Amino acid sequence: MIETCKPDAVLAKLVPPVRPNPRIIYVPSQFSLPFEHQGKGYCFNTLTKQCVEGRLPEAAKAGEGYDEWITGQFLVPADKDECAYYNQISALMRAYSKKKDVRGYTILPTLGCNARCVYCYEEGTKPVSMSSETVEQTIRFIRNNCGGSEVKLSWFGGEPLLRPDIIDRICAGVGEAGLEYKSSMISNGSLITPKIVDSMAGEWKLRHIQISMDGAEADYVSRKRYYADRDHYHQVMRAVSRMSEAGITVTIRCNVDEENAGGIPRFLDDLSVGVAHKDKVDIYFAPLNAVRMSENDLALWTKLRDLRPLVEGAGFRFRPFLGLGTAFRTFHCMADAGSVVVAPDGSLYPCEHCPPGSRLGDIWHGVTDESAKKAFCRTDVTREKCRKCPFLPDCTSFASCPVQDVHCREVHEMMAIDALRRMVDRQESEIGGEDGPIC
Amino acid sequence: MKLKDSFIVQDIEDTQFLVPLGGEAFRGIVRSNGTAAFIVDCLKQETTEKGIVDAMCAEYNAPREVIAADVAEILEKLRSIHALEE
Repeated sequence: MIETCKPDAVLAKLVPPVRPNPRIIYVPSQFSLPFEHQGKGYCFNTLTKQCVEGRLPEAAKAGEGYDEWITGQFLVPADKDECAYYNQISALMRAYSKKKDVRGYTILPTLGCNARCVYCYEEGTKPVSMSSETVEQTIRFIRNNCGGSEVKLSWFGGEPLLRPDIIDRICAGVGEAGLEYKSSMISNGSLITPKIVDSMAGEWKLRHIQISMDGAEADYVSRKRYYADRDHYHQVMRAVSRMSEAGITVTIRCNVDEENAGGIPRFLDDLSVGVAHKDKVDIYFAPLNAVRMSENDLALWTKLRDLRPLVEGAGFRFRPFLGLGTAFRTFHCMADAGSVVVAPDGSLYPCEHCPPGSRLGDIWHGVTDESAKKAFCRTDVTREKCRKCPFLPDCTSFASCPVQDVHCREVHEMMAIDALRRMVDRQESEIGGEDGPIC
Repeated sequence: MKLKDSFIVQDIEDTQFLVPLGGEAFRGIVRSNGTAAFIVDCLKQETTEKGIVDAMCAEYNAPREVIAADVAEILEKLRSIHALEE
């Protein structure tokens, strides 16, 4: 069996070894993802992350030449409950990786925003900001719950840059408490000035920022609907350039539907001209939730996948919206990774969407409703449509996740096979076609 | 004696794992053989070394002194990773 990608090292040590049993009939695992490339057959295991060259049989017994496929779990007993098996492994990895302290804090300084994006899920929320008492208590809450470890602050909103004073104070307070910290931010980028970039690179210790830009200028203007009538489009591009020069990694999230997809080449042209350090900038295209939840999303997903050459041709890094994991994914998002969201009123939530009913407590009393968190991130219940899905190990594993895509399986498969084919190509170009691991 | 609450037991198919939660000095995963798994199961409730040996003698057809030696060895290993509350 020629291996093109090694299995996850931790999982390989952990999972009990499989011994082929001659009395059992083995069939392809639900986690086996076969694909063809340049006339050869390959198979990737989405659970173990091993990829091998060869074609899976429909069924096999031990001793029929497929023992390595059996020990590699590409072939499994026909009656195996693979969803339960995955959940057992996932529970073990979570328990092992779980930290006692809270290291990650997503802080919403304000729910106010200077834009009115047509797709905003926060539309209708009151534009409240943190009071000074809440700011000071947030600092104390972080100090008391981080266990002295380095703290990761994520700024979110609303538009967090409407209240840079709050970010200033919390960063200063965390620093005065003697804690190491670094931060990241999700912003529309329109309020970034040279002074803000100085704060980002300095006191805020901002390592990464995600900026939402929604295509070419006319689309951007009509979708962002800023209250103030200014040239935000070029202003944000200048800000991206300044941040890249300051060493901050910038991810541009381009929210797309069929209406603005056609303008993306123009948008990339503009961005290419305006940004100095392209190596610090990556771009990903995210279909709007309304598209993801509709029956007609596949054509758009295909278009977005095919934008890679255009993005790379413009000098930026292309980041697929759904990537291919080559290591076992223990945690899937902030909700199950043990970080916490601090809302402007000091309420604590497990998820930045702050779903109703998921409030855990507040910064004055800490987490007072453990049951809310457990109920929200309950991992022993898998959605029925996910139970037989080959991409279960790469997807959110808890049933309360608010993300509900219609064709998630087809989209995952399209993206994964695209990534796998490029992985095989890379291997061949790097080692001249010799056998060996590439990831 | 009892298994500490900060260690959790997780079964994957026929194999039992013992995992420390955050805060424990030991940062590994223990994969138990059949004997160790039986002992760990006994330790989910308050028990004694003698109680575990009695339970094993009732389950396994082996001389008591052999079982007692096995139990002592496993308990010592669990003590060495601070998994026991005594």
